[in-house]
Amino acid sequence: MAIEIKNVTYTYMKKTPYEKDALKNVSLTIDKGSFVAVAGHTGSGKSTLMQHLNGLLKPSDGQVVVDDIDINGKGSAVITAKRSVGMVFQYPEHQLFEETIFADIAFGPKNFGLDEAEITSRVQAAMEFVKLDYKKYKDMSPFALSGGQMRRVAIAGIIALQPRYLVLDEPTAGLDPQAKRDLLNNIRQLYDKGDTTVIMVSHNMDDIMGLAQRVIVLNNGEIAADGRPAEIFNKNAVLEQAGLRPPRLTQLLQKINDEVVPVKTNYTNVDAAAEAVSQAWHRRGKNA
Amino acid sequence: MLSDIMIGQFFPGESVLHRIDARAKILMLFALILSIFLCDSRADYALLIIFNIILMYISQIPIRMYMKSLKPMFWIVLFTFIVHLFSGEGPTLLKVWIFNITWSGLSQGIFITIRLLLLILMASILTFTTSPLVLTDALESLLKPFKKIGVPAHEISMMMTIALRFIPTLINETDKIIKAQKSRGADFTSGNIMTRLKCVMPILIPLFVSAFRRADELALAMESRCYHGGEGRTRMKQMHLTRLDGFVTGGFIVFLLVLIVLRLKGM
Ligand SMILES: Nc1ncnc2c1ncn2[C@@H]1O[C@H](COP(=O)(O)OP(=O)(O)OP(=O)(O)O)[C@@H](O)[C@H]1O
Ligand SMILES: [Mg+2]
Repeated sequence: MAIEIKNVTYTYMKKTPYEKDALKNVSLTIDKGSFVAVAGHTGSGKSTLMQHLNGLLKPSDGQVVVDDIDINGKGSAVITAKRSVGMVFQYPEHQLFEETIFADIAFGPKNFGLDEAEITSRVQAAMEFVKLDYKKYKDMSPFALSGGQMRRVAIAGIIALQPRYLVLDEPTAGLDPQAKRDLLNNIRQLYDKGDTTVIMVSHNMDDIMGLAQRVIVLNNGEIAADGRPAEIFNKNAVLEQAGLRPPRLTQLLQKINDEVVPVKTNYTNVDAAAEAVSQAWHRRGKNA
Repeated sequence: MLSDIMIGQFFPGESVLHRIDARAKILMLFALILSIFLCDSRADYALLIIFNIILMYISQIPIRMYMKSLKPMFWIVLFTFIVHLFSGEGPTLLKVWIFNITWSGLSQGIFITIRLLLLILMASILTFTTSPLVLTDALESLLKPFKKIGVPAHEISMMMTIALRFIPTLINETDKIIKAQKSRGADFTSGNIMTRLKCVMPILIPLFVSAFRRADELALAMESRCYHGGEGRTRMKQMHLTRLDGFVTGGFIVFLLVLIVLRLKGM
């Protein structure tokens, strides 16, 4: 069980003077149960790639296979496969439209043809997930909320679909630090429950650190690097080429390693890193 | 789909048509449109079609783009053709149910179709080779003399600039909202009229909300840069007439004269 992207090329505005290859022969497999982060500079093709995962964009060339089904094929299995991929767009709060928050979150489940009782329980669970009090908010207009709360409603709208694969396109863009932390914690909790594979786009390496098990770096429509976070974060040259920077923790460790004492730079956990630095420092003291 | 909409589409280039002063281009388009309505013999049409093809060739823009610009008008053109087809007089050529197709109807229909196609193509030549900003500046400059009689030249051109500027933005926005709702299982292609109308709401409401938000932001941004209308405003890019404009306009006048002569001879 996995999402397989096979030699996908995508061209915007094909056959016009504005033609642009947003993806160039990209291949990658996202295993079920993993937490994958996709990073890249603005315009590197992240959103384009994500929109292939549930068939919103058809590859100009290549194939997208979800759980062994080519999602650009025909048949009822294709619809089920597409529906197993939930997509949270960049600035998802711009898609809200219903009169009440309840109705908006219920829009997706209703379209999927679920029954009333099931819809209500899913909306309840989804609102709980994004920490919106059900009783207090269910009958409010989504347009009466703050930007951060609207974002939570929009995300709840996708969570209520209970997707097996959850795709989030820069979910924290434009949020304040507290809201950002809360949202990332929510996503982590959902992932830890074990039923959901998470694919998250971000240019912020600090967000990715400690969450993802695998980082894919896109640059100019191509995969520039793919591997474990600790490994990717130390490929400074590759990251720089892709217009990214290592997380602040990695930057700090690299600086300590270069200028103070030799220490491993591949920690993704602040406590472990602090421990390692302190040990290295003590060793140095003894040797001197 | 949505990306097929070509209104206000501009293709940067270096052709003669790109380099002519936009004011001259607008006036020439105007004259051409008038001449389309003056034409009524086959020779006139042939001349205009040839002239049009030459212009399209000079513009160095793929012919495919011109074809694409015709696409949205297809149904209107077809409708006009059919209406004319059945409304001619004279001997019947073919009888369909209670309607008669006549020679005069057929030729009327064909001529009207050619007129419409020429109109669209000529307008496309103008918009394809002129950036929207330059176009509205030129319009403002052309409308200036009418300010005396109360035509708000600057305001009209500013409104057009803003409208043109936001067409692609709104198209992108619509595209994104449609995709977002599709991801939530919305189906825009099946069901009867009522269910389809209902399907439009999830697109229209977010679109309106975002259009108003953008308008609000734009107004604020303009105000905070002290925008207060056209009075005393200077331009970064001044428009100058060049020798090239003289040549082209001259050639154009010659072409119009030929048309007029043809028409006088025909009478
Ligand atoms: N609708 C579109 N029409 C034409 N070109 C597009 C369209 N959408 C994206 N592109 C182009 O494709 C390339 C990749 O865009 P994409 O949106 O995938 O980038 P991204 O990595 O998501 O960037 P960001 O971080 O800014 O969201 C960009 O160069 C962009 O200009
Ligand atoms: Mg993006």
